[in-house]
Amino acid sequence: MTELPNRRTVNVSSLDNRKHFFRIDEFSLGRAIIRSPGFAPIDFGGYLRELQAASGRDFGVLVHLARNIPFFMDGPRQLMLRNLAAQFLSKTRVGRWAPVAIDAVERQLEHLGTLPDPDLVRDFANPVFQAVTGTVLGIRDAASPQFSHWAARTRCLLEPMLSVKTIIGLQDAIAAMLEYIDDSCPTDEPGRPSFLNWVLEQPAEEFDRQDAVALTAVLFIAGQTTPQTLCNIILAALRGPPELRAQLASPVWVTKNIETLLRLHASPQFVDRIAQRDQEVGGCPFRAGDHLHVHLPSINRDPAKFPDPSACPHASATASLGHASFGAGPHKCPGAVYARLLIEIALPRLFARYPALRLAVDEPEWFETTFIRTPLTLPLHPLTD
Amino acid sequence: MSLERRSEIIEFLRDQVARRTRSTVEGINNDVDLTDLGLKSIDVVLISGEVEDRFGIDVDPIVMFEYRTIHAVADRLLEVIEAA
Repeated sequence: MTELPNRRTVNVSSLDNRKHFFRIDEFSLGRAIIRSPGFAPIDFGGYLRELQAASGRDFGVLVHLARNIPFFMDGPRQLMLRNLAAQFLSKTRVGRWAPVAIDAVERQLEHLGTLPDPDLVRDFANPVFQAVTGTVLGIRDAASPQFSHWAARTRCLLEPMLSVKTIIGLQDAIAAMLEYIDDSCPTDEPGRPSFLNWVLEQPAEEFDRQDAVALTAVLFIAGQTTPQTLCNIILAALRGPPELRAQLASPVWVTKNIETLLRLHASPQFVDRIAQRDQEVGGCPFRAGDHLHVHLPSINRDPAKFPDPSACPHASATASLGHASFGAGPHKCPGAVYARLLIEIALPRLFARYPALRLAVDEPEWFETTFIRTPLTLPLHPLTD
Repeated sequence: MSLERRSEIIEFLRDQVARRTRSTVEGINNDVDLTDLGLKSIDVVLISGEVEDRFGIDVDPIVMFEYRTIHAVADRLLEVIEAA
């Protein structure tokens, strides 16, 4: 697997009590670890509480947010939060938002064609995601410059070993975001409630309005991997053979090949797990406390699972079933259906409207973190229909 | 000036490491890997914060991990301070 540009992989756990750190590149082992209850996510809330106690700083906002991040939790509350999100983002419910997404994409494509220096990240993927997702979640005007600024600052949330100063800045952005969401008071169409209004009506233990606001913010923050993945796919198309662009202009082809596109181009790079006990998985012995760093691009290209991973990768509709881009098991991404909907709506419309898209740079600027890989910008030559 | 500043940084780091590991400054070897001195990742984050406050620079905690020993970290911090 070729090292990706501008990416850091940090062996954080080698600092902690000499526990072992393993990078997992094999599909069957990686998937088993991700699904297994014997391995838990990193306890982000516990880390924040420890940092708070040791530093004397107040990280109460982040501690409360962590209590509503299902990706960093295990147990009954994690299941409750995940089930709330998954129930709202089910195929039936998500389908009702398709007209909103289509409208947002078409308006943004129209706007894109008027710009002297269009950028697909700044002027297409991000504003579409923010506008649609804001409406779905019940966040008013989520595509505004102010909300966009806060959203951008939250992208480092998963990074290991953030400095205290960065964590304070992250908390400030999230506090502002939470207050904004709390004040949103969304007005919904009949039969299509936004997430915030809907989740407030659901019976849930130890889940008040502030938890509902936090979970809404969490879904938005985590959902940012969708426009990132969209941009990865677009970049691959701009660098790929011409026939790929023609294929991406076809809604039928995109839907048929969506799992391959997600397998090869999803923005999340790792799923981390901590072994909860001494155990053996796939013939590999692990000790309690071992840190497993499952590299998603590697396991998604494992030839043992996906034969001919680089040969004509977009040819077969079934070639990518079972990929790990959305994780697996109890922590599987609850937004997978929604992510697919947005990408299936945006991609063909982009390439049908502007088949002659050209990058204005040889190499885009990359978003440099451990857990996410995506271009920071995708500047284009001016567009023509 | 650089030598004096370097000594100041080293003394500061030794003091911070001693506090986090609840050991004596005298017992700290400047050329031993930080993990062998008993530091955990949270300690590295906290010490980096103290360095930022003390010397007025931005410090990514990863620096302490990447440079591994007090001497190497001090040399890197000196570069950052003198470039600021």
